[in-house]
Amino acid sequence: MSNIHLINTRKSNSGEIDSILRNLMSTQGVTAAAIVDSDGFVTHIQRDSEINTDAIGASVQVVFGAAARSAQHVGHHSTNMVICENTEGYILSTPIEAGFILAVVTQRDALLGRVRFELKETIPVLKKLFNNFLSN
Amino acid sequence: MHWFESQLAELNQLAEDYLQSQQLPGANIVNASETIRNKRKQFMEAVQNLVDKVGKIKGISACAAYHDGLILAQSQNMPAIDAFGATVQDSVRAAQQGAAMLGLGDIEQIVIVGATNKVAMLNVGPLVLCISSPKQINLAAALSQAV
Amino acid sequence: MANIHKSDYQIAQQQILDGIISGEFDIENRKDLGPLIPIRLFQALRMVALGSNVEDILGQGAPSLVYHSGQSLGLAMGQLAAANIDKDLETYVGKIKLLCRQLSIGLVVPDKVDLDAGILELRVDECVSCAGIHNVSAPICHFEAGMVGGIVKTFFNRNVKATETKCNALGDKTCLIRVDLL
Repeated sequence: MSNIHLINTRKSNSGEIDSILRNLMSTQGVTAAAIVDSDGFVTHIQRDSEINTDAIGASVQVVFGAAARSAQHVGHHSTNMVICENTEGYILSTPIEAGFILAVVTQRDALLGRVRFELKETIPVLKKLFNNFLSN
Repeated sequence: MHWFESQLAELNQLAEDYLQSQQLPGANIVNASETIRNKRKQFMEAVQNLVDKVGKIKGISACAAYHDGLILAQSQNMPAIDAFGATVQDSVRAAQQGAAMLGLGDIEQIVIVGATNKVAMLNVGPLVLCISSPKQINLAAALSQAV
Repeated sequence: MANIHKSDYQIAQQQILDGIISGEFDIENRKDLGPLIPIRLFQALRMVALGSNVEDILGQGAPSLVYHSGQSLGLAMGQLAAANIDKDLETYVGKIKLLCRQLSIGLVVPDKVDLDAGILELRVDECVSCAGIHNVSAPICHFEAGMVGGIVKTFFNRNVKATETKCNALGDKTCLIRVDLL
């Protein structure tokens, strides 16, 4: 018997999730904010310009998964955030619940502490929203 | 209470309001989420405003706010932001250890005075406000007048 | 002219996909052994090389990678099947069924098509990935889910989300893949 639960977050709390992503977009230097499910599928996204959502979703899961594995190998237990520092900006990813990840793309001029702070403060609310949805 | 003290008190109140908003009962998480977001926005805007104002005060070299040693808000004339961040984190950690041994209570301020310049670090809610100036500047006096 | 650099994997991928598209399954340098391999070898590649080994490195990122890989194949198969059929869904499905049988991926059977609700469910009987595998705790055919997602995405030219809701390895006797058109 399959134990798969289809999680369609689009149908519940979607407005609030989009508001949260829009709020992240209002942070200086942030160019995209997305929620990625455990299969690497982008369920929600706010962005300034066109992004290949299939590719970014899978990449975010793969990078986060690899970083989390590395952390386990050195005894760091669970991973709270992965920050990729690139020539043109940052990609930050943070786990929510049930394999979902919040990912934020920024330009180079973003204030890293500001974006990180917003993410850290946003995650508890997103966790509650997802828990609410998953328990219904 | 002089200008900067009143600004700090206001900021601390906004930080406290934000903290309180996070304690709201989670029955309606959607409404609570918006409230939390708005309170955080108010706090962050106030931080940025204060940083901008302090950065413009005559005698002040730069002002910035940090969270866990990472830059969160900065005045226009902010050099070496990462070095500031590292100093903030190192200083706060060392001060916390010392404070625990000496029973000082929670750290409110740290001032490092060099031969040329000095840096003051002030805890505001979850953040550290960092103000730098030439050594000879009287910070209390410089910060006492509204910008 | 733009100089587009292709990695060796991309070069190999192109040759493999060209081989599939041509419908010619004979293969050079396999004079004695021929084009077929034991299913357990495929499953070793799928569940070990592209399964537990990838999981060792990528942890929770592994299913995404496998899904994405399957989707790439599905997009290529979709382009092949969509050629010269004038957007006829029945013909498209027929060509996909044939292709999946020829490649021994499985026997694809449409179980439910509700275009108004934007939901399609396709059964994959005799699924190549999980045949003979038992006692898993969750569906394991992410590759096939991605492949079906890619096939449906190509036809409708819309983003889709494919989820395996039943799996033979769970004791469901078949693999059922639900595709939501977005």
